[in-house]
Amino acid sequence: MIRRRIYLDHAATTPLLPSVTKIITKYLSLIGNPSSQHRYGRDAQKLLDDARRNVADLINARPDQIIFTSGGTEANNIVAQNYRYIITSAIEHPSLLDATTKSRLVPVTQSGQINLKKYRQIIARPKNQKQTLVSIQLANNEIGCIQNIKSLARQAHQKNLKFHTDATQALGKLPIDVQNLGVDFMTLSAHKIGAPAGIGALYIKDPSTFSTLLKGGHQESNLRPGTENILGAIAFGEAARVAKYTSDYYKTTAQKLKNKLQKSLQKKIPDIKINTPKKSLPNILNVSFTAAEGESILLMLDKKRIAVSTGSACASKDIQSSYVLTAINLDPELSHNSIRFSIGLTTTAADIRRTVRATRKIVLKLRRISTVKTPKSYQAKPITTWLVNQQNTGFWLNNLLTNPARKEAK
Amino acid sequence: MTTDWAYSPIVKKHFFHPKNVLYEDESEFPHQAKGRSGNIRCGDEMIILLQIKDDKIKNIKWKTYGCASAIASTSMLSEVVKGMTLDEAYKITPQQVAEKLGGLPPNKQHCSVMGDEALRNAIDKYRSKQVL
Repeated sequence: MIRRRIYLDHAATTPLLPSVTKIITKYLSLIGNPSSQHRYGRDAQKLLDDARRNVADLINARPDQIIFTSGGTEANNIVAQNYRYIITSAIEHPSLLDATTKSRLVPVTQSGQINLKKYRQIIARPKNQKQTLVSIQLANNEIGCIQNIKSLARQAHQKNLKFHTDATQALGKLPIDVQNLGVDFMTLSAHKIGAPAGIGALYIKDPSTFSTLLKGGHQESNLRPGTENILGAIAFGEAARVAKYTSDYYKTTAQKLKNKLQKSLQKKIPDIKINTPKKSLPNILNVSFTAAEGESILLMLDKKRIAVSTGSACASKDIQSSYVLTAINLDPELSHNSIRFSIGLTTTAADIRRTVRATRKIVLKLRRISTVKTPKSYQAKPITTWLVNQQNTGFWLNNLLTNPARKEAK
Repeated sequence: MTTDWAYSPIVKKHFFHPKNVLYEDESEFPHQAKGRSGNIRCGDEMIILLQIKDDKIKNIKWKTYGCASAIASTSMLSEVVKGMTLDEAYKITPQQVAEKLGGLPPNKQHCSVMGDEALRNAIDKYRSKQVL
């Protein structure tokens, strides 16, 4: 029997929502440049406006505060390049960390929370207030930890600094309200909430004071020139409309599934470490399995038709293991052994059960091959160990009694 | 729909069904030489145990902590050197192992180097013992 595939990598990207598939199929052959004044253009403009309103509604913003981009990476880059200096966290997405060389990193605690003492020290002495941006992500993509953005933004504003938050992972999983959070900029991405990749958005509190990278067009209020990706925007708009209702699902069902996954893994597999802190997204669980390397676990799970992700260096193109796990001060060995499970709208309790069973088998197998010893997993087979010991003792005693050389030595 | 993965079919075979793995404790595999390479902090570590008779590798067992290509290359190496004389085994290069595996991705070449290091480490130790 071929078993159904289990996708537990929703933090990487999500499957299209059925209603998104339906709406983009409907408009696939749409003609019309929103800049045109004829009927085709006007129709396209209307669809674009609707999509923008849906996205704005999701985060309680005004439609004119939303500009569509090619995704989260572009949105982060646009914001970062408006400032010379950036104060950001050590666990930020690379699209922010690498966007500028002049950044100061705020360390995080072992639970992934911003080190508040250091944060206050760093924002108290910015190099140049007008040219400095504070950027802290709402929720982390690897371990799922959630920052207290409201308080961090307020503190930045007290020092007259602008505040940006990357809400890519949190979108749809937590209720987000830009008015309440008080942020100046927010990055959004569509493919994490059931729309295709290639479309995202940037929320700008005050669009009139902003300039951009690209020049040469009046689109998106002059802020993002180039003919709009209407099909992408329609998909994002639809996903955003649905996402208003999914935060309840994540708060209840996904959280329950995640708790179940965590408890069963802890119960069934000895010597594991949960890297996801308590205050985290309801759908991300990052776990390290002692003595079993992440990429090996990932590939063996893949063979069993289960898709997950790892922070191990071996799975990526570089030699370093996950910088996020290093920043939360996880043992380097354990960061090579980390697996991220991320739950989505289609995950079932049966999926979780099968994943736990498969993971247990794989981890125990890899531990038997591994050079690293895990005391508890060796105790898992007490009967055979006992038999072997009996035989050994017997052999040794026999040898002692019958070996003439031994007798002579005595 | 099936898509190829980053590794060759031979790597896949050796990763899912590794040969000559030391499943039991070291003491239950009487060996004349033991070699080690890598570091768990770097994500890869392996040990190789050799049974040597008349300067020939009679049997070989290994343990590896690491990614798929590390496991597959040690498995392949163990198949290749079994029955070889120590001199022949000493001359095996990581490239030969990688070739036998049907190639490794560029960022995984270091995995095949490690098995080689462990093997030479074992032979060196054995020889220094013989001299004494």
